[in-house]
Amino acid sequence: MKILKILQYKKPFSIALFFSVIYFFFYLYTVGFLVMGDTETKLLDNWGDLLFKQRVPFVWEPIGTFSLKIFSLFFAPLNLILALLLSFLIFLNVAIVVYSYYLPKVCRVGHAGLFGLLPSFLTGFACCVPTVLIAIGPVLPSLTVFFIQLRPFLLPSSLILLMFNIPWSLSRISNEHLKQTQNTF
Amino acid sequence: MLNNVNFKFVFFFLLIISVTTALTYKTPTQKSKVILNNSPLEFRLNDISSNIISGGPPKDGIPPIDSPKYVTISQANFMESDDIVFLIEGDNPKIYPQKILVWHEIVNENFDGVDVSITYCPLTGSAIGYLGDFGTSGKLVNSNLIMYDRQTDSYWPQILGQAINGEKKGDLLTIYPVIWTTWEKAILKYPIADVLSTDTGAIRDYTSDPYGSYQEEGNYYDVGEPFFPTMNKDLRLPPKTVVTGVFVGNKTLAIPKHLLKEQKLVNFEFNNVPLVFFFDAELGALRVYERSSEEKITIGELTSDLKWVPSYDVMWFGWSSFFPETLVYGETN
Repeated sequence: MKILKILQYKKPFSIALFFSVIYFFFYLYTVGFLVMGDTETKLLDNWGDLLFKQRVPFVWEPIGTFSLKIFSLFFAPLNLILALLLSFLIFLNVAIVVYSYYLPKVCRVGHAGLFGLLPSFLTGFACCVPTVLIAIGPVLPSLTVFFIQLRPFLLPSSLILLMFNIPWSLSRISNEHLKQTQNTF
Repeated sequence: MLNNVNFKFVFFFLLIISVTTALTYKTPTQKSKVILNNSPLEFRLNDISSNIISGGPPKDGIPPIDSPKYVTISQANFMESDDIVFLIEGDNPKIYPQKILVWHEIVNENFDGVDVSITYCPLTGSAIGYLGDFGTSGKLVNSNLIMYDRQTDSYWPQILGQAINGEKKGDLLTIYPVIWTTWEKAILKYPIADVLSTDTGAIRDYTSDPYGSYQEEGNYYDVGEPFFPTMNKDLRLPPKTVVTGVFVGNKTLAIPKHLLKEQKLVNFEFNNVPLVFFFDAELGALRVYERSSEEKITIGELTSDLKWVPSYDVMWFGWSSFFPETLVYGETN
């Protein structure tokens, strides 16, 4: 498969890994599960009741905390799986973009597909208000309402965009290009 | 085959479908089983009910604290002196830190066999005690928390304190006195008070307030507009002005708290009821009582025999959205 061949090259692999790890932690931060400060590592007694309970669509209740000394991680298994899935898709997308950078200009994939990750950053929610709107301040009350209605579709949009961008990007890379770039990395 | 598919077209098609669906999605509203004979009250309640919007979370997505645990004041090392707290006075005083309630909004208590809910809406800066047992609906009206009662699932906007739909439509809640004060003031007056613990059964970052800070200026709590639409926009006061909202019979009065900090004590008559309101510097609270006679009283004559008048602190925009006919102290005297 083309993607496996691309991942054999050190540069696309390592750069993609770097960005996917950054994204993983940043995503957890935007949904409020990575916070500054230390806390004790613990599992709640009622973790079974909380495991599948959603705060808002695609944000589940954490069932425990994990101390990372400077930071603390709120542990929600389903959100961690989601974060890993998104990070994996970022990893593949970035690897393809980096690889294609070394192809002839007309064949380069470009960065447009990576914009698919943006909606996933907007899913954070603090109680009643999306955290992105708290950050920028009340702009228009109707905008808040619109954003809340839009919010359930943001994460699926990210997933769809990132998933579809992979075969589309790979379609622009021929097997001949793969042979030609063997000695490039 | 994949090479022939225009993926860009597919992406944008799916996005357009998603956005269109989101924009046309309507929050379902409850149907009332109680008809109030098409009275003005019913029209008003229907009007409020038709302005319900989704705040985002599902029912109890903002989890009420149903089994509150307490620590002593000396154990509450998560508190700072100028932290905002909500105080229940009396023989068994209790302190509810705002930094915990901003994440839960409701604490359900039982005092001597009586259900009492301590409720807090961060968006309207209102901390109100009610008799009853409530959850968070996840809905808002006038940017204010809508509670639901656990018995009938009727909706009760926190500031209004009246059911706007469901089996209890039209019913009024009984207000239970809650004092808005600071940690330093509360523990000075009530050194034996119990303090709500951060062991709530949920995991939240209780060291941070997602909306802003009461200890700093220039954030949501003191400036700017509400996040959500309101039914009325009353420009008599800046929207985030803290007022003490007072209920006297069928009328409402808003007392800007900063006025009473200066005046200290006021004898006042409102809706044919003689009142006295004074600023309790010990707790930084505005207290409203009914005088037994039309004779004016002084600070030295204030006693515990005076009858408390239902009242609570709230941001002006929230109060005036529900009570557009309210009088404002300072305009009328």
